[in-house]
Amino acid sequence: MSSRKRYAEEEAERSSKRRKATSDQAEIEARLESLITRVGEKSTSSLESNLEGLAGVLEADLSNYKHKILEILCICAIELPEKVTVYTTLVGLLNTKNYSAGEELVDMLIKQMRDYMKHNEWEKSQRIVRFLSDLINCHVVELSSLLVLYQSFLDASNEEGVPQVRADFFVYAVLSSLPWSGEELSESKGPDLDKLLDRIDKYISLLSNALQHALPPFTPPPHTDECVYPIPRVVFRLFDATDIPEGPALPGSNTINRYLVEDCLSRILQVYLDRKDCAAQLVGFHAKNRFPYHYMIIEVVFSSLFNLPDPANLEVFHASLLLELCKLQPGFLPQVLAQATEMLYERVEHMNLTCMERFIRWFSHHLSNFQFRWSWDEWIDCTEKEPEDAKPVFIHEVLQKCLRLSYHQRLVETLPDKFEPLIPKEPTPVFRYIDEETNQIPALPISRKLIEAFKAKATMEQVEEILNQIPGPKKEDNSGEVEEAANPLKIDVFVQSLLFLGQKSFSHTFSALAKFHPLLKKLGNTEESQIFMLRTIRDLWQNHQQMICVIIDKLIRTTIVSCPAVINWIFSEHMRVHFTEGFVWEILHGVLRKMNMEVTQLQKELEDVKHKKSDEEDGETSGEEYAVSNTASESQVEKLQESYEAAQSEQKNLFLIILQRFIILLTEHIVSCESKGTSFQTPWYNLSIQRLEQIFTLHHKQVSKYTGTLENLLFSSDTDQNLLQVYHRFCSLRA
Amino acid sequence: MPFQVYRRRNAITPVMKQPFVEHIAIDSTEACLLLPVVISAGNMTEQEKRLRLSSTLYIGNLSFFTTEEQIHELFSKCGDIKRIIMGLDKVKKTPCGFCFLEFYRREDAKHALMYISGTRLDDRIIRGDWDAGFVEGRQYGRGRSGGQVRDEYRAEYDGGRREDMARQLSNNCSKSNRMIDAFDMTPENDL
Repeated sequence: MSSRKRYAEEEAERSSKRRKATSDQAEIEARLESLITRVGEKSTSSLESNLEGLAGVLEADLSNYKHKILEILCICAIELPEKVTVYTTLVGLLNTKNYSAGEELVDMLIKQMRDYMKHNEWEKSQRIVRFLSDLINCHVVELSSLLVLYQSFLDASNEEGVPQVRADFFVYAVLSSLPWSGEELSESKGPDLDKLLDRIDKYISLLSNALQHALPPFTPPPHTDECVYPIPRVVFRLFDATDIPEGPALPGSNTINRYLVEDCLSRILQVYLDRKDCAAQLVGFHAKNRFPYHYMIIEVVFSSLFNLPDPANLEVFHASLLLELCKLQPGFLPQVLAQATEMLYERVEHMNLTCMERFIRWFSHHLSNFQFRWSWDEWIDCTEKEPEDAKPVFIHEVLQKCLRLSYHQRLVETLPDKFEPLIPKEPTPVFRYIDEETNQIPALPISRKLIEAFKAKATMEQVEEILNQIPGPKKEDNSGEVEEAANPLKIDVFVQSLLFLGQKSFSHTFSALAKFHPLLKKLGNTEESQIFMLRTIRDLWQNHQQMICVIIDKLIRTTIVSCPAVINWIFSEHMRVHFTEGFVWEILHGVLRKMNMEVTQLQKELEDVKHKKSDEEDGETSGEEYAVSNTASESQVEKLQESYEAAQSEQKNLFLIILQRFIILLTEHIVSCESKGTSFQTPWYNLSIQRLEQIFTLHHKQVSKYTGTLENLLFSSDTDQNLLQVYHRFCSLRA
Repeated sequence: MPFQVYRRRNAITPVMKQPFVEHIAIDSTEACLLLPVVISAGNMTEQEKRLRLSSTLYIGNLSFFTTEEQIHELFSKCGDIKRIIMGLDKVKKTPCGFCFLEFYRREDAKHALMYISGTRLDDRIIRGDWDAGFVEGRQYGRGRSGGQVRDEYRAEYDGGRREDMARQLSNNCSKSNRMIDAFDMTPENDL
């Protein structure tokens, strides 16, 4: 056998061994991961013996897979916080068997914590603090060194010239870890906490002879302008002990037990994004027999839904999760959910507007899954109140949403007769150009001709010819030149006739708009004429809010109307009757969302291109080919940069218009009330000022970029105090 | 699920000029109809690639009376919708219980599958699945009578899918039927 051949054979054998080794290794690592992540789940044997067993397995594998094992433990500490005590105990057991592994893990955690802080992942760093705190109970970490860590946190919160939110975070991180370390630290006792800890204590007492580690010195990363801290949270409590008829008592609102259960359940909501998994985890909560957990689950789900500024999860997730929970526990959850809904309804008057809108969207969605069955008779009180009172307004908006998910006849049949005034009108078009007995509508013949032409599939030119039979008002500008001014009648006849004919569905309407896109653009060539167009659409579809919303969305996307035109239309006299209605704000926030998405999209494209370019520059720089591609991307970058900046300034401009219109409108109202000697705090004002607040709430990320401009231009010392207050409240969220 | 493989293949239909099987096989009778479908492996990967990038969903088990507007409202909870193409009876040109739903963002379509699929609309549990993207012609039912194949094999009575139970859509129904001619439902490309 030639040496060459032998070499080749040996090489082949080695590589097959290597392959086998890598696949074996991967297999073992996967097995380790599965073992570690699953410990603490439902099992026939006790948790204690499972942990002992697992610690034994890991000890044996530590020699070969130390880094992998520690890495998995680290991830579990962060990603599975509901099992924090399980993992700290496991680490404790490991530490007794292998001291250096314990040391490495602690170092790893500390490093990880600092990295998270640097990347603004404050919540994850807080989970590590908690994990470290619990490690004192398992005799892995020295009590005194934990104190030093806490001390460094409190030092960070005492720094000068840092925002309150930074200080808040560090204090909160310590506070929220005290439930795990408090007993050891102070020997002071909440008797409930003692009981809870007693069992664990007995179990871990066998670890007491282990050697312990000092935490490495830790200094929090310094504050920079790039730091974004968690926004202050409001503690949400819906139920108290008297709301719960039987079973285990609900811990008081401010007790540690309530906090801990809430903390656990809300983590489940953040970790399990699949609705079925999440519902199963919530219902299978390990301490469920000690708490009225159905109530606490509902409270936590609503707490997440009503979280400000944004819900803690995707909004639609909550509705979906609640449906799943009702399906999983049909004997309990629907009743508790109904009780919660009842309580929220009773307090709807005092509810934050943004939360109320989420409540409306959830409730209507929920009803649509239960055939709109509800104890409506118990809410009959709302039909006897003034129409602008909170309850009837709430019900009306709920029914508007129900109508969209269902149909008019169904609501009429489902609701008690007394609700009739609150049921929206049948969503049919109100067409202006229709045969009346008097027949005095000026442009009626034109409209008829248009409709005939549409049906005959006439060309754009033919349609325009008919339309030009309406003489346009001419206006002369200074130079004596005659130009055609916006022609409201022309726009009205054309748009009403076109959309009336496309009324059958969204698709028909969109198809009509697409077919006559050039003509629509021509008619709406100024902002003034675009506002006429919007008026016409609202008049035609005044009973079909959803239609107005989707048509306007389409008009913006096809650039027939501009964003500022929509905003100015919303604040115009014509829309005053609708100003406090939900659909108007659905349109406005839709405009802002679209704008925001465009800016984000351009920003991403720009970054991608720049990234690609710098990659190219780092690479080989020879040959003509490179030069060509480089110049191409140079102009590409420039072009993108331009559009990005244009979009950004357009976005800023939109916010400025909206806020300015708000200030004018509300100041006028206050002044006029004061001159009449009446209180300005009318229901209209209370809703409208909350709409102003909502601009800040829903778009806080964008608006916070403009605080300098806002203070110079809009929210200066001359501004009315009531409006300034709203602005200052917003600023304090990040100060 | 023994019919899983056919359902996957089904999603491939847009490559073919004449799609001839229903999109989702739920009951065994329909799955049997799918047996003769043969598709080359090359198309399979191409299709799978498209499925992975798609932001279009197929939504099934709709009531015949559920409107585009209702679907729009429900699914808008997950994000902005680009277009909805209602499945139509080939002969009668009326909705026949399914639609294609395209989002602007794939992420939103994913959320629709996670949080809306499997819940109710017009009292029916609707089902969604990824679709490789709408192609003209696919909006029509492929049953012999013009509707969906599945409905021709349905053994039990299904109120939401019987025409004689038609919801009274008020008197403008007949009026607007005439108007279909002016702006037909052929989906236009987005402007």
